[in-house]
Amino acid sequence: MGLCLDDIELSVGSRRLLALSCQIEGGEITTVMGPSGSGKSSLLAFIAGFLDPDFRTSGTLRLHGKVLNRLPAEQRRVGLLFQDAMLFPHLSVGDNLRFGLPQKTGDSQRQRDDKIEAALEALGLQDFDSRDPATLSGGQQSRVALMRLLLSEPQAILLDEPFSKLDASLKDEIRAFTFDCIRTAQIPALLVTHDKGDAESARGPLITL
Amino acid sequence: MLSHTRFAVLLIGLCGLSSGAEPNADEWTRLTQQARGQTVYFQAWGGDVALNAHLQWVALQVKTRFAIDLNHIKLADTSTAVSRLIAEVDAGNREAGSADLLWINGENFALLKQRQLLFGPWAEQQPNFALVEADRFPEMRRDFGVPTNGLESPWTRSQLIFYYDSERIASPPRSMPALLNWAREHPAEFTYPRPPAFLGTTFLKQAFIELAILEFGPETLTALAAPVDEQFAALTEPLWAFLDALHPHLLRGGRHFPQTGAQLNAALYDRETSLAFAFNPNEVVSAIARGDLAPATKSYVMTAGTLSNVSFVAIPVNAPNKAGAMIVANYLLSPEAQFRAAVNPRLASQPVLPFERFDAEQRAALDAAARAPGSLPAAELARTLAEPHPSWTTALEREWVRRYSGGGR
Amino acid sequence: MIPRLARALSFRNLSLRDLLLLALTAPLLAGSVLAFLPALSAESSRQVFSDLLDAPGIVSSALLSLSAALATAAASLSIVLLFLAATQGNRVGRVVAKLTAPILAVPHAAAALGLALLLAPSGFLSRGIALIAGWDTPPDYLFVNHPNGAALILGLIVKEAPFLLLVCLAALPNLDAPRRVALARSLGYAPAKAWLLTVTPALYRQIRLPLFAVLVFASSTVDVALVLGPSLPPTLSVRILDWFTAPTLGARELAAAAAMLQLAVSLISLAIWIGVETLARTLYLYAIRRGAPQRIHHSHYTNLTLNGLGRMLLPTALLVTGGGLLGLGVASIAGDWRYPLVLPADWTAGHWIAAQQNLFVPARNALTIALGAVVAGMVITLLLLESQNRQKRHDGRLIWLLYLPLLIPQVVFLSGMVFMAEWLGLSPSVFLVACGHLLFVLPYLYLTLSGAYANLDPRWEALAATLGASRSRRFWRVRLPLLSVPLITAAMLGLVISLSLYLPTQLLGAGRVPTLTTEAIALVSAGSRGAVGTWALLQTALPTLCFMLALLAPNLFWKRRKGMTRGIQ
Repeated sequence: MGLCLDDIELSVGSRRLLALSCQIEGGEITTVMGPSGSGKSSLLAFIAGFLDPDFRTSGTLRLHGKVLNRLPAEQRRVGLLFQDAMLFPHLSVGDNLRFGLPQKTGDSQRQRDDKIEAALEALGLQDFDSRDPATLSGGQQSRVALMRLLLSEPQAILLDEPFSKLDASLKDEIRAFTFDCIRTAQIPALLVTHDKGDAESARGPLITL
Repeated sequence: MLSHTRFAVLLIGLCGLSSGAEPNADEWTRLTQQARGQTVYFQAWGGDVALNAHLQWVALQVKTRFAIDLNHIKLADTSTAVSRLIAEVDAGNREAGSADLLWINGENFALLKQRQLLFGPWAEQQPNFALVEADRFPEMRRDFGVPTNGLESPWTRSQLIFYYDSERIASPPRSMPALLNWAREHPAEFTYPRPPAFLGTTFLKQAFIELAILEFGPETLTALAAPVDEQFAALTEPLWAFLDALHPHLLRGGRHFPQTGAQLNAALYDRETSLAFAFNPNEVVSAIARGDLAPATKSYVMTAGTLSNVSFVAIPVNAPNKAGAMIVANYLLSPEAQFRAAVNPRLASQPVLPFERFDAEQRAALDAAARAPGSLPAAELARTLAEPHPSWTTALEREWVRRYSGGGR
Repeated sequence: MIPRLARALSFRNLSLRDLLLLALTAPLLAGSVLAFLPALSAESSRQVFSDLLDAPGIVSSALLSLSAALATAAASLSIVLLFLAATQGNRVGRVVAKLTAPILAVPHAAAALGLALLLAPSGFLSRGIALIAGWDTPPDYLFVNHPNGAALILGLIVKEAPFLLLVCLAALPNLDAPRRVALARSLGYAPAKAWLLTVTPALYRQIRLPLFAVLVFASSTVDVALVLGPSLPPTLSVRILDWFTAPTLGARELAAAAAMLQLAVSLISLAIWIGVETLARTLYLYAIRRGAPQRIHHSHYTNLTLNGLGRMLLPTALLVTGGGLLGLGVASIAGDWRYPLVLPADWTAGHWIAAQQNLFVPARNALTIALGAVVAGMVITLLLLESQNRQKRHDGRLIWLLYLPLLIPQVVFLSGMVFMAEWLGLSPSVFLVACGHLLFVLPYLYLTLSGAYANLDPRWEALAATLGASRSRRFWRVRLPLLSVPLITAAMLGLVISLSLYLPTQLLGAGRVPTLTTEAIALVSAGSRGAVGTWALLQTALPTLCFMLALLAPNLFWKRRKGMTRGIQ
């Protein structure tokens, strides 16, 4: 099952941007590399559901057997990780995590709070619930962003050069942490990057555009 | 809506009385009840802070006594309200007008009366109207010579007076020719508001009447009491000659005219001018009390007499709250309200009620007020000139504008 | 609510948004046409127009309005460009820019009253000279109200130059001015000249619309002209108002014909300006093609002159307004202040006590109208922006309609709107006035917010969507909070504008809806100096308060969220 890209073609006007087919299983991290303008970002936008209507697309996009092509972004359950941590500046650290927490029936406020507490503890950020995200270090922000993504229980994850802005010293640590989490959660992931090192530590298939 | 019908019946009853008949106390009581809870929009010139404060006090009184909410809509120029009323009725608005009570005079009254845009007759049915003794004082029934026919109720009196800075001049000019000579000797020490601003027009009329009588004799007054006719050019000839000669010697060389009396006072206070005038015999007393004029300011009346008239309030035909408006007008006439306006040194209004209508205590207070610095003895104020027919006013204004407002002299 | 409505508005071809825009501007367009109707439908419209041409001094009035427009725009623009060229974002420039901002909150009328108090023959300046020269009566000179309109133009400049400065400061960050200047300097141009030659052309393109608004406003202002303009004859706009409110027969027809003339005058001022633009472009190219200057002394003097003027003129304009306000403050508490006293001999709280008794209703009306107009304007602006955002389309074909209230003289379309309200049987009310204010507030809200809306990183919404947030949740929980700072700024600007509006309030309210502004203007000619000072300050107080709030609110509101005030977007 996993994330399945079947004869995907993206084009603008008469120019074909990319054509690609691939299958990503749970816990597998497939890397896409290519020069600027090769359509990497458009591919991510297409999968996540934000592609500009000016693009023409063909092919089928499936996640665990469900066709995504026509679903709005918020119903696809495809998570995104950007270069920047992008923690909502108007929300506290805890509320950032709560933002994506699915609303399940029979889930009490208490249980949700416990979940956040456990998540913060797992990050080593106990008592950070009401902290201003702007006061966190770069590494802490990245970890919170990843945790926010995981708590939203995505069925696939897209990574848009997520480590390119991190210091060299921090990069290996965060990268290992991120990939470990994805493998443990058994979520299919697609990584777009310029960095050979990213591709190597992803240990999955490599597609070059 | 029920009250609308009832009110209509009541009004028909009230107005059906002939204008000379005694007011019907019973009808008035029912009118008073009708007025409870009404909001009355009183559109009146709002340029006098003391007068505004007085109307504020009146609002408080009618609120507690009659449960009427009185709103004073302060007009920069009464013509605004008049043109609005005309436009409203033209547009078919005959019930929900924006004014309930108007302070109007002269040409504005003549215009609205002629266009049948005033409600009434109602004024002589007011219980307090009897107090003004209109049979003894016919001016209470004539607005610039036009019969009021019960469409207007008097509420204050006015007279044109002149005043000067006694620190700068010893003896002021007491006639228009003397004024011209004085201005030649004292350049830039006098000015007058630009007609058609009310006070400017008043000066224009004063000069016109005085000069016309000098030139053509006292019988001219008969012509002036009638509507303007083909004699206009001839009769006004001395006026234009006078103004042409006067303007170069005015403040700012006659290239800019003030707009209001407040500006005349400010110029006098700041020693820009040394002579000014107002259409209120107690202007100097009240202005000194307000601090708008120096205590050394002295008032006088021209030898030939000065213009005087009575101020009226009227109810527009489309006023939504006519009952409330009548109650307010009646209260304005009450000895209490008249006394309060007269005795307040900042307002010092001239009552429309005869002196005997006030009680002993009030009379004593009024006597004391009459001795305030800047006030005029009654004998001087007795020298009055009657307003010409309103059509003269309009014609004079138009000619002044044609001659002087284009920029050239 | 807003997201759902916005979706309804973003059907591809139906373009309900265009309909909304049309509905919003319909009263304005109808008003502009109706304003002329009395003249055109009169029994003999030829007679009406010949009456207009016969009106004494009508040509002077029209020329006065035209010259006031051109002189104000040209002088304000020069002052601002010279200032920017001379300071180029240095410390002096930043301080002056900070001081300029609050001046925007001072209503035109109050600034004009202050100016009159400074420069009249019995004003502050004259009293100062009297102290040295030993005068005991004021000199008889005519500056305020002079027929040449100099005081009127000065009164407009001291308000319009700060406005243009802030517009320029908003546009500059995207122009990379320092690099342009560095390049030109390396080619031998002195700094100020380098700035003028390299930055101005790019900057000018961005401030053209506001500049046109300045031209139209200056050609048709009523409140400033009432205070500072000449009286024999007054400006065209004042005469329209006079005729419009005159009870005499035929005056309304005359007012309508004069409104057509006013529109023509405003359009001519724009046409002349566009002509001058072409000329300026030619001169500019000529200056460029002459080549870079040799490093000789006389260009050094040019630079000194430019620098000197640039640094002096704008601060002088600020000083005049500030001094005027100070003068109004002194007047409001002055007891005996007879010429030639520089300061009052004694002081009184009387004017304030008197004003306080009449304060409640005008203040309540002013606030109700301003809040109503701003809230409605905000909802409409967000609807328009959100529907554009949905369609991923920039502006609409008809978005220029929003700017019409700034490009058609107020006195023209407002008089038509009054006719319309009369015919529809709408009696003057706070509601009607607020609707009128909405038209004036909208363009500013839209101008302020559209940039912020477009500049918000699209990844925020993408991120929120991938976290499962629906459209409405993304709008309310992500977009609005992230835009809260520009939203507050826009709202406060809207309040400032509404609180200062005179003509819409006076005409649509028929004098029955007194606000602080109408009360202050009513006292201009009729009140004593103390009352005028008090009311002018009261009129200034609310907008200034709003302005301070706009500066302080984001920091207070997001005290515990540093990312919100650091400009992360």
